[in-house]
Amino acid sequence: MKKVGLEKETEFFVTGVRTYVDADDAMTEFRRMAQHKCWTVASRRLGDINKALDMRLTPADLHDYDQKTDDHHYIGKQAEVKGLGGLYFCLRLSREDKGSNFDAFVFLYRKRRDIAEGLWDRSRALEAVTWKGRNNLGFGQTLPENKIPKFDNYLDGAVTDFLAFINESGGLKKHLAPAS
Amino acid sequence: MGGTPAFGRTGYRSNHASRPFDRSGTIGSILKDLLNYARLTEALRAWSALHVSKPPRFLSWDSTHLFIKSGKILDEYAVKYLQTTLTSSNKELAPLGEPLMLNLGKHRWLSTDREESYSDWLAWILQGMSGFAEILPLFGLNDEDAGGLLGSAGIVRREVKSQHGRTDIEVPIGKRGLLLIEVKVRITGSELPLQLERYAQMVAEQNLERSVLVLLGVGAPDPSLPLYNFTFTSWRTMCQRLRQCARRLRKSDPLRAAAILIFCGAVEQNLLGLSGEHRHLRSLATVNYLDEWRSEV
Repeated sequence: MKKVGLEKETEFFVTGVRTYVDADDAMTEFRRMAQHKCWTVASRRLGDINKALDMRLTPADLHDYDQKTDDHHYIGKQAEVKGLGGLYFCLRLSREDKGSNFDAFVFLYRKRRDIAEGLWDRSRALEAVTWKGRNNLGFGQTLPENKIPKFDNYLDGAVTDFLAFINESGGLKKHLAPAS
Repeated sequence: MGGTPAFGRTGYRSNHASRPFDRSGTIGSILKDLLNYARLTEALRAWSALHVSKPPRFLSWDSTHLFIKSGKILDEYAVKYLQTTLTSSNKELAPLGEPLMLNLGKHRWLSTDREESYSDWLAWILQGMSGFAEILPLFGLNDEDAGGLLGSAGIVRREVKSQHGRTDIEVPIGKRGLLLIEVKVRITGSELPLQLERYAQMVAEQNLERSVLVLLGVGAPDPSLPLYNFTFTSWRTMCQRLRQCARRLRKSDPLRAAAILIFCGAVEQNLLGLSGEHRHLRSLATVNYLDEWRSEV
């Protein structure tokens, strides 16, 4: 039994040595492509986003974003939101017990809990806000396997959900007032 | 880029949240148990019984093989797409040409770590510009950011020494203003905020009427790092704007346009990893880059 285990281990190592460089290139290109798709969608919606957030973001303000947590990979673009934190547009990849899960995801991040409290309070009762973290508000659109080629449309939908929430909340500026 | 603050400090739930040590009072009782090994053994047995081991995840290269195969198919398409895009870009810049088609990766002056060479060349390009109305947009800024007072640029200075360090590029704005550019050709690290803070302090001590601080780098710094009034601009964005500038100048001032384009080509090839030649799984990055600058009218 131990010998079989050792052979498997050796086989895995040998395959790794042979394929690592190609695999790494493929991962790098995949990440770049996912980020470019997010950039394209976010750039197209910047007019609406700037209006809702009362900002002057340009496509050049969208920077690469790539983060891994225990359960998820996030790949996409991020923009600084002055006075709050950041706005993120990404592809979220998750490993679940029964397989993988994919989402087109937009989320707003605040640096501190005492910023934009009204916005976070309002999110509690809303189903459109799919992730209500202490400092994150996420708007996700689950991406079925057969819809992966339509990722752009799903991310665009997530942006629409995010904008609807901000606009119905009276815009971001209102919540960044010193009183909040 | 990684390490953004979005999750690390947030409501992201760790899967360790249900560790027994998280329950109040447990630590105290265990400390008491340390005095009684028999009881501790019992406790360990109880814990052991509670433990449910996860089945080991089977590691396989199957996904990787599939991924690599897909990459090869993509690459075949990318070769053709790259040629078409280079041809379009070449036409756009005629009578000059697409700088990515000229190999600028071998010159010793331009090797990756020659920050001084890139700063020297950029300083020279800025000096040739008509004024701040032309310079500031390269960094995504406008007259509002500069205090609404535009004018011609003074003599561009390099490596000005002071007790705070040695600055990369300084462009005087009239008699009482300054555009300071900190140039980075590598991914910036944790030492960056200290450097920026020193320079911001240096500028503050000069009691200038207006100052514009720019950080020029390959990738945006981690959003959690303080930038002390510096505005970040990427080489990628700045080169795309310089290309637009060269496109405008290519007929009226072809020599200057050519110098700008060669600088862009050097940055794009050496710092951004782009190329006019096909490189394994890198060609689409070049295609997207060229499409981006050409779409900006």
